[in-house]
Amino acid sequence: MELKPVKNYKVPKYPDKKIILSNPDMLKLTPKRWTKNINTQIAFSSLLIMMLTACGPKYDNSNEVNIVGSDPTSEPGNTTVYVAPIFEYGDGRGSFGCVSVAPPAFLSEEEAYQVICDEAKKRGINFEKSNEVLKDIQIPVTYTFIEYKPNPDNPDEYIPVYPSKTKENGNLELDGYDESKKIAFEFVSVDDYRGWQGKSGIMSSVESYHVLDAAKTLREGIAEKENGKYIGVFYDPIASVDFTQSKASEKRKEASKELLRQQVADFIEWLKAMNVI
Amino acid sequence: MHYTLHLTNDCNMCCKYCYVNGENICTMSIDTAKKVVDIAAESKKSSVGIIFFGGEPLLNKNLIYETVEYCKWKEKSCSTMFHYKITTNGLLLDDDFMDFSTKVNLFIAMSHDGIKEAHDKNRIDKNGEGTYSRLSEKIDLLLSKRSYAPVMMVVNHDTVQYYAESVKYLYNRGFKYLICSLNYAGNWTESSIKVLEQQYKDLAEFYYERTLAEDKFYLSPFEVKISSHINKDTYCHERCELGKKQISVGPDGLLYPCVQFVGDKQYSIGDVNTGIDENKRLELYNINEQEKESCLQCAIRERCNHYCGCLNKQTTGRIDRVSPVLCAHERTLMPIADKLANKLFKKRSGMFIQKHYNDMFPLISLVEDSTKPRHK
Repeated sequence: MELKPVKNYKVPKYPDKKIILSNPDMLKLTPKRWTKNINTQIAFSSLLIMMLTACGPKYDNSNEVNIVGSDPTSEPGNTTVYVAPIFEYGDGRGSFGCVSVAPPAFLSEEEAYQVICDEAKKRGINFEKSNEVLKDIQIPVTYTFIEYKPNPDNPDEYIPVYPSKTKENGNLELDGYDESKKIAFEFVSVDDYRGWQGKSGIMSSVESYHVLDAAKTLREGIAEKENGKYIGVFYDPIASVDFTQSKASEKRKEASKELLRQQVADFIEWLKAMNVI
Repeated sequence: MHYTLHLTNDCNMCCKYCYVNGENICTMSIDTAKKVVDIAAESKKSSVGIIFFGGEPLLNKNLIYETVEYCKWKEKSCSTMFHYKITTNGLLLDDDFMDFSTKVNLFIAMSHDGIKEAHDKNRIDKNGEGTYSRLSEKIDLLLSKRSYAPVMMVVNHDTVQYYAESVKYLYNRGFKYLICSLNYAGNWTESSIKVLEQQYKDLAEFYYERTLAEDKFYLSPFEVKISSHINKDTYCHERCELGKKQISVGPDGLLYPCVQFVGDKQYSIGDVNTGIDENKRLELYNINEQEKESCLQCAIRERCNHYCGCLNKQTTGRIDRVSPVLCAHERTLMPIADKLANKLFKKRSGMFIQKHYNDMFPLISLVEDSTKPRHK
């Protein structure tokens, strides 16, 4: 038997403790039989108050770049940041160029918008295009090339060297917004990826897109800024299908759309866990 | 902080997977035990656990009584309060010891592997006979006086097919705290790991049903894995910190960072006469803390039990080398545990939410048990 490091593992849908403690209403869900025992009720109410106020444990989220809950000691009027984790369905990686044996099928912004809106509408969320802009946030700087270098352990083999992630300040116009519920989303498309390209002196006939990585970096940037919304960051799954199949390109697109629907479905579950919907 | 006193390496059983070397029998003296208590008191911790271990610790009941008595005396002159635990195979439990345990609040954990086919496969006496039937009345005795007593169950490669059934059996016998561990040093194969996977799925169904029925219980594999996500920021502090949270004391008085090192002198970190060798302790701690090269790129390493130096040493001979069996176990268990937790959360199960998200749950549970109506 061998050690087998796990390459990808989806973030579980059930929330971690910080999310629940920032929405303490969830803690009021108790076993039914507690309601029949007055002593248990008193103990529960008292201890819950203790836990959530000064006498209880404090949760320092000042360095948190994931979900940041409201700070009970903050000034009134301060807004909060709620950014869902990236729900990974699809590798979000693809290449294009040179001799295109099996060119990927990317989702356009419009196609993705339609998928996301349709899925969200089933749960009562009505996204619209808006001019909602997140100002002065860290946007990922992307690169479309992959550099290869010899493997020090095996010189006959070349291993990819991905550019280090960098970010730079910028404004982000969100792709969709439900103003009544304060829920928004951003879809990281290949077009976005190209638009965020950094400068480099390398020319290549092949372009590579790592939209998942870009989505993760973008999510960190959004989470650092207060904006008072619940935001989901989705990405083009860039699904792969056996290119020898007939209509492979259409099938790739359909596969990508299905994976995107799953991303949205998980986002909606997250919103439910947050008691937003 | 806990001090595990390995009172003896002798045992009245001969379990096939036992890692204790019983060739040269050595029993701890009362002087050694007292010196451990003195070391514990000098640490000035407000609360210290004294765990009686072996071999079979109940072969030395008098030593246990005297040690606890010494602790009680020591408490009068220091700021440390002691609490007590014992892990026993249960064969020597009797009314007297049970009364003693109630009087001093000694926590008793019994080792038992479940249904007869599983238990008697490996948990045999020195004549090679199974011990299942002899333990039946001991279980009743234990739970009648200590209803929260945990059961420690070992799952071996040749009993894995009985895992789920054994857990259910022990649960139905009355155990509500079920601590299940694999014998990672066993002869596991891909095939037996597949069986393990199915058993965990079966157990997940059981856990789901019992939780919705609002039963109170603790089934360690799932509780630990679910907690590793829910309490992710603090989970890293709950895992093994070799030699920092627990010190094992061999019968000869040598100190070790954990139970599986006892007897292997190269891992000794001092003795009861000279105290803890902090340099050696720190050296082993640092080796253990370093992330393993093999695990650097693993997406689940933060939630994985590969940090356990004890297990690594038992299976690979080195604390910095991870057992492939452990790896396979973690990869198998984690998605099943997360799927289970997702289901229960989606269902908004009050018991699940309170147990996993409310830090005050143990206290509230205690109040509930203390005040529930007694049926005439």
